[in-house]
Amino acid sequence: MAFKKSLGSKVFDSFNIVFLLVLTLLCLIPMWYTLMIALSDKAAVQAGMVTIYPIGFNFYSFQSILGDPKFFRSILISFERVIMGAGITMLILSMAAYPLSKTSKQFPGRNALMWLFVFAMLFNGGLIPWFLTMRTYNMMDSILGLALCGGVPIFNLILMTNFVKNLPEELEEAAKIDGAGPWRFLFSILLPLLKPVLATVLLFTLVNHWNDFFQGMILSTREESYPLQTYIQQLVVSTNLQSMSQMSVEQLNRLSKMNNDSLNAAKVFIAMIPVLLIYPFMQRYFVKGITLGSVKG
Amino acid sequence: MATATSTIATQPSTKQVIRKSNFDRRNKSDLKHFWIMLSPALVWLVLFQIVPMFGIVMAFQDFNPGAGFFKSEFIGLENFKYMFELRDVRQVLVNTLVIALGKITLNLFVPLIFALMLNEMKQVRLVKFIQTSVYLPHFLSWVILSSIMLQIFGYNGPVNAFVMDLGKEPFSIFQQADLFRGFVISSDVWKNFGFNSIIYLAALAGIDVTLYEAAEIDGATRWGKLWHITLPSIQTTIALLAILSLGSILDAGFDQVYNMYNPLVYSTGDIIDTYVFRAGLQQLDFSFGTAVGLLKSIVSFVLITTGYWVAKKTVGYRIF
Amino acid sequence: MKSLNLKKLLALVLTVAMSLALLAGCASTAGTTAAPAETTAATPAETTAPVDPLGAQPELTVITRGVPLDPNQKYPEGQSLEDNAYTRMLKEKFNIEIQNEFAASNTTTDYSQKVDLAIASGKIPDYLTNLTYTQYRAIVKAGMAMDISQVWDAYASPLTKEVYASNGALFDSLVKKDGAMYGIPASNPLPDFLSVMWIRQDWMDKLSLKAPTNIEELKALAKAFKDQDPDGNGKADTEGLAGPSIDGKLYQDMKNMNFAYHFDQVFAAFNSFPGIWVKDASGKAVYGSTTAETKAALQELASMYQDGLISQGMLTSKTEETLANNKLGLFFGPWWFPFGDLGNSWKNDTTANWQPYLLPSGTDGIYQAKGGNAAQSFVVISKDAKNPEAIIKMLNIFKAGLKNYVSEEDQTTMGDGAYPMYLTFSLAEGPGMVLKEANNYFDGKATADDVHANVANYDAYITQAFDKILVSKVEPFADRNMSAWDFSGEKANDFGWVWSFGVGLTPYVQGNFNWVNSLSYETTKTMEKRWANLTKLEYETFSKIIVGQASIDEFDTFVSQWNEEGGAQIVEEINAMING
Repeated sequence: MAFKKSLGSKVFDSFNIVFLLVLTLLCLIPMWYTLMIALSDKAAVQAGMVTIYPIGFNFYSFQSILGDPKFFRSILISFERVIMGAGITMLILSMAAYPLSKTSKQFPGRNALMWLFVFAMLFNGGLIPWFLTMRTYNMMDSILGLALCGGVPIFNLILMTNFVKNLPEELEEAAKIDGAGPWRFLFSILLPLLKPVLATVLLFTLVNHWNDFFQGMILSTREESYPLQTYIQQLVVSTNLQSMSQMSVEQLNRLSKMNNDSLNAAKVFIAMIPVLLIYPFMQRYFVKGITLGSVKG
Repeated sequence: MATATSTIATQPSTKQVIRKSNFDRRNKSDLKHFWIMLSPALVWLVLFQIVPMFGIVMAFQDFNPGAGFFKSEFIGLENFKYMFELRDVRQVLVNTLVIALGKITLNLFVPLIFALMLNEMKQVRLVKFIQTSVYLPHFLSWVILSSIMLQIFGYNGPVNAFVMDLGKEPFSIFQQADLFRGFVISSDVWKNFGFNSIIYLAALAGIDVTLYEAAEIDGATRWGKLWHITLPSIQTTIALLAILSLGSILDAGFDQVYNMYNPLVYSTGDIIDTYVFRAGLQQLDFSFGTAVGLLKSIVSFVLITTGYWVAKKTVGYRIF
Repeated sequence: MKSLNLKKLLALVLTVAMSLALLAGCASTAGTTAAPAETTAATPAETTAPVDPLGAQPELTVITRGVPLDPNQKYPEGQSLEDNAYTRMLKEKFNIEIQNEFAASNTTTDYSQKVDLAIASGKIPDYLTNLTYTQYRAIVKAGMAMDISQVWDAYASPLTKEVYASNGALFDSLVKKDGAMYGIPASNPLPDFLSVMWIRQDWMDKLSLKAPTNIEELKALAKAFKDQDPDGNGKADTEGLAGPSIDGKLYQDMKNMNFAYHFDQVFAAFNSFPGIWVKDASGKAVYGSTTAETKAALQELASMYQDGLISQGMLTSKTEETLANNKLGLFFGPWWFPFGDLGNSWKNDTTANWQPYLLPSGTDGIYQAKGGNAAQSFVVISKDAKNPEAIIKMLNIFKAGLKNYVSEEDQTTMGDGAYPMYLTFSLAEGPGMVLKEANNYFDGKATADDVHANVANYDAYITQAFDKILVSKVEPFADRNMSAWDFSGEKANDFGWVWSFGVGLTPYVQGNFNWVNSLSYETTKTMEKRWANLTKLEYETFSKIIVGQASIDEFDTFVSQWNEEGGAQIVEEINAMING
């Protein structure tokens, strides 16, 4: 390409790069900032002095986390929940996506089922009946409860179904000629082809379970069974927001004594790490999974 | 693609016809297996989503937890009438619509602009790096992000320290009712623009390169190419995304607002979901909360159904 | 690949097992919810026989509860929330076993949320403490609270009953209906709500001034303290009347009581009671902050501020530091302030002779004191509780003094907070008793032994405070000035105790005040949504008026804006509530 770029074009290119880099920085700042807070002196943090580099550099926050069994217990609960939740979801969804990807001629009732799923996603009896149901199932303070309580993740199911739908039909015909039944087709031919969408759904499920605080909050009867995000929500967010207007002077005093911003930041930072470790490696898959599973131009 | 399909369609061979009938027969016996494959999902659906739906009756009752669902008094549409009389509900509806529409619009166009800009960048490794970085906030929870924002924009944060240095009164964005909605919308756009650009980037990558080459020979400028080739090529994608977002018009984002709001910003920040949560739990007004929630479900369902048909009729796209 | 299969298999097995379990669970759903709301009368059969309020249960009694957690609660080595000296004591000595149905932090909304969920699900533990009035009412309305009138009569110890009776009229109106009793209010001692006017007596004497009896004299005193160099260091560095610290409040209101550096007594002098619900001339409830009297009081405060009679750094600097550095000699605050900032003032200058007064509101010499909510939280016993008497006994044990039941070491580490039936449950008079008994002793009306015997049954701190006063007091007994106390050596450590109980309570004991209680302490529906904003508007407007950033005319704008933004609605709700 021997095109000579015009001056305007060059200016645009430079501007473009700078602008996009600033945007990128904007997305990375929270991680960085949190780390800086965690590494700074508590007093400097409370004075709002810390910005992009630590002030009063120390590892005290991370050291004192080591002696915090509550925090580690909540991490463990989150890990258990994520593993169990993802395992169950992946198995159930990949079995369901195949029949649902059929046309309504091939599988009568398919459309009705699809609408049932969508209906169930939108309508619910509200928090209290859900809570009552979970309690009746004996799923308070239970990892299994946390893994299942959200119900079928419909969005992921649709994503998978659409992905299967987009595979060439000849595949199945060929398999049938070879004498493969639906089960063998599903597990030995279809599933390997679903790798991108499986990876995508796996990532979404992992992240969803890791990030949930609400279910963890409602379904725990004691602090010992909080998953990590609920623990952080209660410790940092809820306390801070409430202090803004509702607290009595006495409560505020107590709060300011126990609040430790840099310690909290260290916990928040640790909570971000697993996400950081996972998604970049899955990026290749989820880009493909989303594109093929949802909208196509 | 279209031509390929039609060629296949115009050449039905006898072989295929036989195979097809064979296939249909086989398919009948497959049905049983299909239902078996679906059953775990259905059990899950019934136990965790359908069963709790019995709670919807609360919306038509004056629910008394001591008496339970079977003995509480039925009051017909009383809760719904009351809802329309309450000024609060109107305020909450306005808040929800403003926040949701703001998010929908910006989440449609900001990622588009970002994708277009990124598309102009030729440094492959840098592009990869930028992509990976901007996806990050999408994967972090609102609990994490709010705790960070409370730190940055709260009273102890650097923003307030800066404002006070200027000699102004202490400032925390979480206490400014007039700024709160804008803050909710923009932080959401910030969180998701990278991730939302994925579909655009894929659509952009799918544009036929020969179109650009031809235009370049004709002496088209970069702007010209953008207007005459790029945008027209992805307009269906944009339209489709817009239609699909219809369903979330009453979804202003519970997790986000719940983790950012407080009584000082209720006037602008309280949305349907948070209102329902508080009415149903903190004020112990169970029936009323359920009624508001039910109304939201109905509206969303209508909108999603509409979106489904519009997408099917206009672009021939089936969402599922 | 192999591990993947294993995982799948595991998940499959789990799914199947779980589905079965769930189906079983489902079947019982209907049964649970449909269970008729029986009313267990729960009247102990043996009411006729004399019962021992502090006796052990005849057989092991299991009691369930919800736990409001204090995140700062400490336990001795090897003890925990579930298993500590208190729970062991209850089990071993009283045959009462405590089971925690849920536990959540009480400093956030967490505990409250768990209680709400329990109420919503129609099933509460045997008893719940720390309930808000809204929650208490919801439980009663849903028919989940037990009528405890008979158990209470039979099992509450005399002391427990005495505490209730000390605020009897108020409590009866809250928890009794048609002869039934549905809850036990926590009982906050009243002296905590009475603010006093702390004055540096030594400065006043030096300038030959008397404690002010009206606003004009208050202004004169403030002016003298500011201009006449009361600390005698030759510098004009002292303040007049102290104003609120950074983030401080201008007056006590329904939620925030019991703090210092407010202007309540100035407001009262104008018959103004901002922050609470009062009656207007026509007998209707109005919000005290919106009255013409409050406007007049604000105008006076603004002019005092302008004349420099109020500390110029109010709301922007730390008043507590000015006090500790002994640069001010006049402020309004609680009786116990020698435990706090006032103690620091004395530490830095042991000649500081702080004396408490009340500023009379009218010509009759009586201070119209803003009252506080004595019933800040509630205890409810579930109608399904099998042994309500055991729960009442737990309260009796608490009142009888936990130190009598567990080792001193455990008690010191845990405090009372870890006790399963912990609540603020104090006689209305509470700490006031200490000074009354001390006065009797100094007047020769009672011996120390008499006093000890009198107060033996009450909270432990009463004896402790009384003894400390005795140690530090020197002749003449009637004199309460600094010269008549001895804080030498070790005794200096007890300054807070002695000066608070021995001096700070004087105005309360003398009784030249009249309570002005809020007509309601409830949070109405509209308040829940609007109150924070309205309070913010009120607070900002009033602060600006006083420091001169806004003219007094802003007050009228405030009132109309306040009404518009939900205030008018709230006034209606409050009136409706009071009238029926």
